[in-house]
Amino acid sequence: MSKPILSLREVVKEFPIRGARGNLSFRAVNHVSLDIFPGETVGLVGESGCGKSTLGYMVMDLQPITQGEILFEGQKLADASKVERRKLQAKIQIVFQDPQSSLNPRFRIGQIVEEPLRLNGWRDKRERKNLVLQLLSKVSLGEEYLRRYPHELSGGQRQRVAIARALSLNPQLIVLDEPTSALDVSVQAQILNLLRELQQNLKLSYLFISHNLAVIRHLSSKVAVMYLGQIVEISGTDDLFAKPLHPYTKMLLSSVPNLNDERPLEVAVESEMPSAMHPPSGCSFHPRCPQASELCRQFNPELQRVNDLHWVSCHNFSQKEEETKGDA
Amino acid sequence: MEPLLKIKDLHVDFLSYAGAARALNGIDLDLFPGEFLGLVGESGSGKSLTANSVLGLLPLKNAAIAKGSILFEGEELVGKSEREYQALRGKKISMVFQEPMNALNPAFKIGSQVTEILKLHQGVTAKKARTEAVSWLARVRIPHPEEIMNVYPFELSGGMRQRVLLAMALSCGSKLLLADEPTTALDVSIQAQILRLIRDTTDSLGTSVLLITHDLAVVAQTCQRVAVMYSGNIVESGPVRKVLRQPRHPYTKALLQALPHLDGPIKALQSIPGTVPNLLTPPSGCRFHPRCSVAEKRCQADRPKLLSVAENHYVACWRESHHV
Repeated sequence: MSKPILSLREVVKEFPIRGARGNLSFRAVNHVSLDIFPGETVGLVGESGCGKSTLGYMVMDLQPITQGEILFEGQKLADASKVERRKLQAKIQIVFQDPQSSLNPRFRIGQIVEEPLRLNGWRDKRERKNLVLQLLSKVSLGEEYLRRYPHELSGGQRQRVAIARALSLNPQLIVLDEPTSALDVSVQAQILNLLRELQQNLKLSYLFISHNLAVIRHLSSKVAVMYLGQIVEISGTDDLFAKPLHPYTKMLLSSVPNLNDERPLEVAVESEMPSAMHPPSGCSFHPRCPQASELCRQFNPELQRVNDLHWVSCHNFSQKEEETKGDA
Repeated sequence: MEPLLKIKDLHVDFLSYAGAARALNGIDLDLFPGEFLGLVGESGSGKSLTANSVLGLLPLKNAAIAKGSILFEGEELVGKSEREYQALRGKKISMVFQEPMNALNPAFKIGSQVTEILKLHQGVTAKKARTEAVSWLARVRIPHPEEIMNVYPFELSGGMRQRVLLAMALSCGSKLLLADEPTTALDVSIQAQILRLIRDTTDSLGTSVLLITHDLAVVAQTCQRVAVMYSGNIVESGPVRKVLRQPRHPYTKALLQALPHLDGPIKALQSIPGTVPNLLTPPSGCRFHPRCSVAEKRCQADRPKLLSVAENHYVACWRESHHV
């Protein structure tokens, strides 16, 4: 197997709590490790507040990390000099959820896509313009869009512009932070198909952040499920949807409405996600978990290996495995 | 059976400096007592507008019902005065909205907001209203309802706020609940709880529900019947199983093919070419024809009516009406 393009090693993000006495802080991301290999899409799924976007921002260097390290092609981002870092960072780009707010309303489309080129040493104006046209055609937007403003475009077209801008510096990795959540389904399909096509043609890797499991399944080869700042399960996509092991993954999958199912929705748990300010002791999912035991209340489980691609952090899983071993 | 709500040929215009935009272009919709009906469509298709028209919530300055009628329990709602609507809202027809934070007053405690509606519509004393409010909060499965009476909306989670709104909507015995994207702002596990709660409580009260959503999967698992809207028209309606399994209208078919699935093989998604039409200059004939893969000459010229193709299954498409 090739080397990962991006590695997160025990990454922690803490935000200080303003106004609190002493050094109180709240842990948004809690010891997350993750590898992304060239050409693959890693889906990051979880409910609001689980830390999935914060993780994306740390990869983009939009948020400094508190602990741990992020390696891009084996090089530590934190060790790189300012100039090196800028070069490295150009290879990682991001597309945000809401193209209305991620595009400058006072720039024309041409300027928006040209900006990263201008800032990264493309001096020749004509060359830049050619590149911009090429980029726009990659996202199926014609020359006529060059002089338009974002407000003249539909949501889907704006997201195409945001994607063209992300592609401008020939990135190797794109962080996609809920890129289709603000769009209607017919437009969502256009954008998902475009992302897939671009990935194949340009050999891109994606970190795909979404709360929509069907969308995640459609695009990802590997899926990480986050809950209260931690990855609770990570697996190949097919495996995860066919055999979810963590009780949280199971709950999530059973609560998503399924088009192919007419039975009334199941309500696995009647409680809500606890506040990350006061995380529960032990396993963070234990207050909502139907199988929680004393062990879960006291100790936070580590990620354990199921197979090379499938890892889960649940005390109950290891017990089951031991049982089956005993049988054999 | 007589429908509880009967919308007939409803046309709503928005007036702008550029002319009138026909946002609802002749809607026909029946809702029967105790029924759970889904109204789906993409943004701008007119689904919220339909619900707002029923409750008389159109912006008076620039929107008007141009034509058509809305009958509720046999009584005409179009043309009612604001005062008459006020007697209706919250008492016979209630609504829950997408953003529960915007629907609750941030400056008043939950208790005073839930009791207000009871005092107004039921004319009960403050004390009685309070005990009733607590029991309603318990009924929508809010833990520690007495304590919740004394908190402000910002202290509650989105799911809890939506429960409060549901309690308020049902507390005066409404016959009809209009739920406008009630779970769109919520996480999936909370969405499942709220949808289940809406279904359970309205079931036990016999309340009819018009659930407005953009999510066909939500419809599949909550509704009995569904109506699909496109650009101010209902293009298809029928039992959920039929419409989602054997869609007849090209738009419904296209919409279903554009959706990624949770199971089955992963196929390339079929996107719908083009964009939703501008309402100021809508296409002639069938409003879907410029994006339709099977459009004929006739589709450009005349608008198809919503006609029955099977029992309870209605489709507005020229290609279908040939066969009837």
